[in-house]
Amino acid sequence: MGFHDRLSSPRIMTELRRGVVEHCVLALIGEGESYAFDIVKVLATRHLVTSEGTIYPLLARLRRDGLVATSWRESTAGPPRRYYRLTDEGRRALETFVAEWTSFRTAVDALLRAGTGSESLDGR
Amino acid sequence: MDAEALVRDYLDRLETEARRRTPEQADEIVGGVREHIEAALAEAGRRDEATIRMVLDKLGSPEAIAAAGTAEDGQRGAEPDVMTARRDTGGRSLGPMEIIALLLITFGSVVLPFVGPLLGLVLTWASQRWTVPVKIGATVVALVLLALPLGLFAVSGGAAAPSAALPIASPH
Repeated sequence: MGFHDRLSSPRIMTELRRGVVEHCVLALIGEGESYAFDIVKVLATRHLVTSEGTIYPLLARLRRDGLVATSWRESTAGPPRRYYRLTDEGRRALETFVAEWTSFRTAVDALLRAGTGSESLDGR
Repeated sequence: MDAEALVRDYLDRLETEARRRTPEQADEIVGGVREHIEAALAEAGRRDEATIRMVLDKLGSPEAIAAAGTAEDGQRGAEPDVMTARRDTGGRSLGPMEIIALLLITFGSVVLPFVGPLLGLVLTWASQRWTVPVKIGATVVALVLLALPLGLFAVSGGAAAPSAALPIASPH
C-alpha cells in the first residue's frame, strides 16, 4: 500500500465509514420499521456507502446478533417485503453509540481546531 | 446476453459466493439484493440493459457483497486480529511467560543462584500483560529475596570466619 493511497480521499472515507455505518443503519431503523431498499437509498444519498449491496450482509449480521428483527409485509408492487425494526438490545446499542460518538466527535473537533491554530491543544 | 439474463447471472454468482455463510444468512442476503434490484428497476420505470447495468454496478460485485464484514473483506482484514490479540493479553494477567517469571523470582535461586531471579526480572519487564506498577512490585520482591541470602551469608559468614580460620591456624 503506497503512501499516497493511504492519504487519498476515498481511502480516508473508507476508514471513517468502517464501524460507523452499522450504527447509521441502526439509527435509520430506529426511526420506524424500515424497508432495506429505503435504508440503502438514504445511505447512498449521504455517501455513507459505496457498494450498496454490502448493506445486506450487514443487515443479516445485525439480525443474527439480535439488534434488529424482521417481519414480512405485503406490497402493492410485487412480492412481500422484509421490514426491519430495532430490538430492545438494538436500541441500547444505538444509545451507547450516540453517547460515545458525541464525545468522540467533540474530542476530534477540538483537536482539529487546535491543529489549525484557532485553539490551543489544552482546550483554552 | 439479454437484459434479464444480467440479473439472473448476477444473483447466481451472489448465491454461489454466499454459500460460505449459514443458509439463513445467505437467504437473507440474496433475498435482500433480489428485492433491491426489483425495487430499483421499478423506481427507474425501465428494465433496459443500461438501467440494469447501472443498478448492478451500484450494488457492487457479488464477491464484494458476499465477503463484506467477513475476514476475507480486504477493508476489514487485519482489524479483528489486532482486537482479539489485545483482548487476549488484557483478559488474563498470567500467561506462560508470567508464570515462569514468578517461579524464577521466587525459586530461581535454587536452580541458578542470582542468575535465576535476574532472568525472572528480565521476563517480568518484557511482559506485555503486566502493567508497570505490577512490574515494580515484582522487582521489589525479587530484590528482597536476593538480598535475604546475602544478609544471611554475611551473618553466618561473619560467625563462621573464626572457626574456619582455626584449622588453618592450628598446625602453626
